[in-house]
Order: sequence, then C-alpha cells, then structure tokens
Amino acid sequence: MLQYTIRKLLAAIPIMLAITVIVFVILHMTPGDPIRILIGFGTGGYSGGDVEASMLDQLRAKWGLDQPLHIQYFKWLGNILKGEMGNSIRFRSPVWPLIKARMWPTIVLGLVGYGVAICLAFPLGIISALRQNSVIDYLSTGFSLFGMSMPSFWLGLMLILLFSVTWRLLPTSGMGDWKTFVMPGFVLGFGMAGSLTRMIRSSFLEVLRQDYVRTARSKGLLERVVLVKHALRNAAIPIVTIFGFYLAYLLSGSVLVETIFAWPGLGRLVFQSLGNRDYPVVQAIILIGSGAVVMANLVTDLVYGFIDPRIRYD
Amino acid sequence: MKRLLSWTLLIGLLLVSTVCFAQEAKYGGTFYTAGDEPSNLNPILATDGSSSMVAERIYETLVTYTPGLTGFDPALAASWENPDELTWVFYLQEGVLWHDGTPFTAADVKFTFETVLDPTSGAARQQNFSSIDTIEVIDDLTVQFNLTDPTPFFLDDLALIGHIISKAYTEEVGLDGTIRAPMGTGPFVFDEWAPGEYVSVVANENYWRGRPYLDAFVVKIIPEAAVRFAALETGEVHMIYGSMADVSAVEANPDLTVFLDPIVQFVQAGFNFQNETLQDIRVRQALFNALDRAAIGDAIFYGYSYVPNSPMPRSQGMYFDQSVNDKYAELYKYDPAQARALLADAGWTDTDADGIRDKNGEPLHLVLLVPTGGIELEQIAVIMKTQYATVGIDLEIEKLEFGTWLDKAFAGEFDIDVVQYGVGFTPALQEQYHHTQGAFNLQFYSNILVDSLLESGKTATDMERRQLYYNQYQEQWMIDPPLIQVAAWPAFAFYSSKVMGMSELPLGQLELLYQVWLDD
Repeated sequence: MLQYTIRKLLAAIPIMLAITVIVFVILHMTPGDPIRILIGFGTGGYSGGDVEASMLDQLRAKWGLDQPLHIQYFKWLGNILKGEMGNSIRFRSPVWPLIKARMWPTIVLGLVGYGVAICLAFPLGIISALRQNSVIDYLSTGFSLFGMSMPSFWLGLMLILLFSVTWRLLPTSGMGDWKTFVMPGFVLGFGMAGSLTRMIRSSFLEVLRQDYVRTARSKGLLERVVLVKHALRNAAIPIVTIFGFYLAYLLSGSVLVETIFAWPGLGRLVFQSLGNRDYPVVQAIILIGSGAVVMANLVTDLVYGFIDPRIRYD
Repeated sequence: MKRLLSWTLLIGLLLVSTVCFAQEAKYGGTFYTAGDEPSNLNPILATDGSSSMVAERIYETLVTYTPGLTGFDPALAASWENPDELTWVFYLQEGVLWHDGTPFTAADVKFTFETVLDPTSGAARQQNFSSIDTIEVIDDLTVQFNLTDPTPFFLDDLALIGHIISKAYTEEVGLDGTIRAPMGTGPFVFDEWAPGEYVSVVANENYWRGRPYLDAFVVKIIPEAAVRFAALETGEVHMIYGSMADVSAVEANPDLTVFLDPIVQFVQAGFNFQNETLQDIRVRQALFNALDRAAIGDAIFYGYSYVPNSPMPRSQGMYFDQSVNDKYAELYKYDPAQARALLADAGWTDTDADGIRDKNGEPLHLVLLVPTGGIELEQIAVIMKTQYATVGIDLEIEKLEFGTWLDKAFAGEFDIDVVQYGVGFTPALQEQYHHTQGAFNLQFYSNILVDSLLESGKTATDMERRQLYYNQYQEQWMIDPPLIQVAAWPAFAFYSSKVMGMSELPLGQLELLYQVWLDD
C-alpha cells in the first residue's frame, strides 16, 4: 500500500504541472490587464488620481508583466519550487499570508457543509431506498431535485431575507459565532445533499437486491444489523467516491456562498482576484485547490481498501 | 389651579430638557459601514474607493474644501500664502502629533510629495503634482513649494489627494510596510485589518481638533450589494453607499435616511471616432435626438438625475455654464422625427425595407459595449437599443465583465461604449477624458479648439479668465460632442437614523466623521 501511495503521489506531479500550465495560459489569455483594473476608470469621488500611459508601463514592468509569457511562467514555477508564491498585484503584499488567513474559514465552512449534506442525505437516501415508490420516496426525490437545481445565490438571498431581515434571527453575513454558520453551511450542504441523496438511494437499492442481504435476512438477523453491517458497508464505495469528488465542489461551490454571505474564505478571494486579474493569487489558490483534489482522490482510493478488503493495491 | 400650573411647568421643563439632551452629542459607540475589501491603506498608493474610505479617516491633507466648494479651509496647514504664481508657502498647525506620538513637521510634507513624485514609488498621483519643482523646509512648521508652471488647481489637488504620510515611520517600515499598517495624524487610529472580514479604526485620543465622538469606525467587508442593504435594514451597519433600486425601500423605512452625496456620477455613451459613420456630426446628433434621456432619468434614476448638456456637472458650480446647458438642451432634445431627418440627410436610408437604414449597401449597425455589474447601465443599454431601432439604427449590445470591458474600451473595439463614473471636483480633470492626449479619452476624440481651451483653463491663474475658458470649452464641446451624457446624478448614501451630526459635505459624508455621533 505504501508503494501504491508513493506511485500515486509521483503520478500527481505531472498532473499538477499540467494544471499550472493550463491555468497560467488561460489566465493570461483572458482579456483584461491587472494594472488597468488597478487604476480603474475615472477619478471616482474619493481618489482623484490622474494617470499617464508611462506610469502604466512602469507598473507593468514592476510586476514583470512586460516579459514574454513563458519567461513569466518559468519564473513563477521557479519561485513555487522554492516555496515562494510571489506578491499580490492588488494588495501589494505576499500571496501566502493572504491565502493562509482565508484557508481556515473555507475549511470550516466546507466541514459544516459536509455535515449538513450527510445529515440530510443519509437518512433520506436510506429511507427512500427501503420504502421505494412510497410517498417518502417521492418526497425525497422532490427534495433532491430541488437541492440540485436551486441556485445557491438565490437560496442564500432568500434565507437572508427571511431569517435576517424579516425574523431577525440570524446575522446577514460575516463569520463569527455559531449563528453565522447556519445559513452559509446550509446553502453549501443543501446543494450537495440533493445529489448525494440520489446516490445513496440507488446504491442502497442495488445492494438490497443482492443475495447476501437476502441470506442475512433469512438467517433471522435484526433489520438494523442487516442494514448497517451488510448493506451500508457494501453500498459505501460509490458514496465514498462521490465524497471525494465533492471536495472540488466545496471549493468551487464556496465561491458563490462565500460571496453572498461575505465569508472571509478562499472562494471569495479567488473570485475577487479573478476580477482583478491578480494572477499570482489566482495561480496559487488553484495550485492549492488542485493539490487538495489530487490528495482527496488518493485518500478515497485508500479508503476503498478499508471498506472492501477485496480491493488490493498491487 | 396653581398646582395644575406648576405641574404643567414641570412637565414642560422635563420635555424641553429631554429634547435638549437628545440633541447633545454623545461620546462612544462604533460606527459600522459595509463595503468592498480595501486593497491598501496608504493613501498615496491607493486607487480604489474602498481603500480611500478607510485611509482618509487615518490620514489628513494640508487643506480641505469648504462645504459648498467655494474655497478652502485649513487642515494640517493653519494658513498659506501664494506670493507669486510659482510659489506656495504653507504654515503648519502647531502641536499636531502622528499616531505614534512623534510631532508632525514640514519634513513630513516634503517627504510625502517627493515620494509621490518618485517614479519607483508606484504612487498613482504623480501626474497631479507634476508641476512641483522643489520643496523647501523653511522651519519645522513652514514649507514652501516651488512650481515649474502656474497651477491654479494646486489647492484642489492638495485637498483631494494630498494626504501627508510620516517620513520617519515610512523610512522605518518601508512604503509597502505602511499598506497594512497605516499611521497618520487623522481623527482615527488604525486598529485591525481582518482579511475578508473587516477593517477597524479607533478614536485618536490626542487628535488635534479634539477626540472624535465615536469610539471606533468599522468597515465590514460585504461584497454583495443586496446583502449590504439587508445588513443596513437589520441594523448591523449604520451606513452604505446604495443603489438606485433601493431608494424607494429606504424612503419607506422610518429607521433609514437617504443622503445625497454631491459627487456627481455621469453615465455616458461615448462615440468611437475611429468609426467614420460617427465622425459625421449629423449621425451623432441623430443619436442624441433618438434617445429620450428624460425618460431614462425617470425610469432608472427615480427622478434624482438631470439631463446634462455640458461635459461638466452642476456640482462644479463656479465653472458650470447653465446658459450653455439650456441652449443645447433644445438642439439635443428627444425628437425622433429630427433624428430620422438627420440620418436621411447624412445618406442613411432604408433602401431594402428591412427596418434598418443603410448606405452604400452597408447597414447602420453599431456595437454598444457595456460593462456588467451595474444594473443601471444594462437597463440603459436595452432602452437605447429599443429607441434606436425606431429610427432605423441596429444597435448590438455587447456585455462584458469589467476587466474585459476595460481592455476592449481602451483598444477602441466598439462603436459606442457606455460607462458610469464619478467626475471629480475640478474642471482640470476634464482633460483626462476629452483632450486628444487624455488618459481616458476612449473616444479617440480630437478637437484642437477643445484641446487649447482645456490647456488654457488649466493654467489660467486669473479666476475670471479661467471661468471664461471653461465656458467656451463647454460650448465647443457641445458643438462637437464626443459622447452623449445620458444622465447625471448624485451618489447615494443610506443611513440609519441613529447617525447624528451628519452634514452634506464636498467629499462625501465620511469626511468629517470626527463630528459624527450615534444616538442609541
């Protein structure tokens, strides 16, 4: 298994490199100039600065944006290998502290989202599999479709309108005490719960039809034992797979949720940095995000072995 | 009877004292507002409004505008004189301390402007102060600026963007070190910047004008406009810069107040002069006549806007020429019949009866570039498309994200571009937009008369002559307009009614935040 892990980790290196190249090229090909955006248009009310073309060139040179793309890339890669992520163009400060401050809020929100999804999806998925074609099953199907198709920004705004503006029960936004976690955690988890419920239902339905479940039942085992020990364990593999995939969803899904709820996380930073074409920040976050997804897939693969001993890592 | 009288008197006295008490300013409380995340808190480096919102509470300028924009009041400079056109001497306030307790001196002023003028500093304001030749420290509290050219708007620039930074502190931590740890002389002292969450400043106990009433001022970072408004409604914040769409909701809410900010915003639809069709003044005038700007003002700006017929806003009172505005209001009024006649006169007729005019086999097709984000601009674009269609102009709307829009707009890849911006206070800034060499002349507009009037206006030290140049400039601009000023309206701020001591101020209501207090 150790060999397998090492092999997988080595295989991840070219994947990560390819991601950095693709991201770098796409980002720089996207129209928009970070320096122009930094200066903005017009004098605004508060900063009546004047600019000259020569100043824009000076700033471009300062950030190395006047150099050919491949040189910019290799410089960036060289710095990354040395453990340096460069400086943010907009914030004029090192990228790593910016990202570090935002990581924890995203992780915590992700965990709350996972928690909400699990609490909703497992009972609903299992019950609707056990009571196939019943009212509960139809309701659960309706819930899943609602969860999958509901845009998170709309759901978020509706919740703010009801729970904050109308009933004054929860704060509108920001991160603080437990109350601030309720709405963003729910919105993030709700979207995930929709498809997870469907997945659990179908895996369970398949497993419940298997001979070993029938055997277990005919042996006179308690239904609870049949479900937890025999059915759930066998149904777990596809569920674990989808959990691995959801890590990427949590990173991308959190962009909208974090923006609506003014959550100080990575999703909002990457969204804001994309708008500002703050290349060093976007590249670093995508590098970290893709690293996390690669790691999650590896962990998923390893978890398979624990769930199903028939899987071998040769 | 006597008893009744004394009771009445007592109750009356109590009532009067309560009213008086309610009007008396109270110390304490935290003023919350919501905005975007600042990019950096050093005022000479910052280029965005969210950064200035905080930085300008921490730092101060030598002079400030008087309310009403009619002159200048002392700030860090107690007085000043202008012995000749090229010399300005400032006598600084005594006893002003930096937040670290060190005294503020003329050396700080000299250091600030030398840093601004240093091309390697990345300061966004070099151009504004480019006429500064040398700065002399006469003594600790006297500083003299020697200019290369007469600069009539020197005090304006000092008031708007001449924030003074500390020499000793900047040399100690470096210019970039001040970005996240600013230190000024202002009424509020930097406290904390929690990334993505908030930026807070606290009262300066030793402020030279006296301690501010508020204990602290906090900008909560809320990127979504709808959520900002919800936070205002729930009382989580005391003030936001709002959008037009929320005006009626604020007016209906007794706990909230609308404040108009004198900073005028323009929505403009600019012509690309690289397009030969638009070089023809008849086509441009037809584009004016085919557009019902008054209806746009009513529908989108809820009647808070006016129809401008001058490149300058009314808020630039002493330069704005009302007679020019009135004269051209008639010529450029909504008149579709006139638009059709002008287009026909310019050779654009509908020969193939498809509803779109054509000339030499080419249809009258124009691309309208719109940045996304501002709902008002998107609505205006749709109205323009509909109204132009009625006179046979095919307008294609191209909506782009702001960064991409900037790229295309500066590359001239459009026929008409719509943009919204704050016009600033001095007419000198007109040069940026309408001079052939202007940094924001997206129109590729070039009119020799306009250029020379702008140059003369900017350097005329005699007030009457300066006014004359700018009046003529407005006339020439309207004769040969580079763009349609679709609407002009003041910026909005929405306040909780707990906020007291506010007054309409030239640079927005936060300018005199040290006089503001909260009535809880």
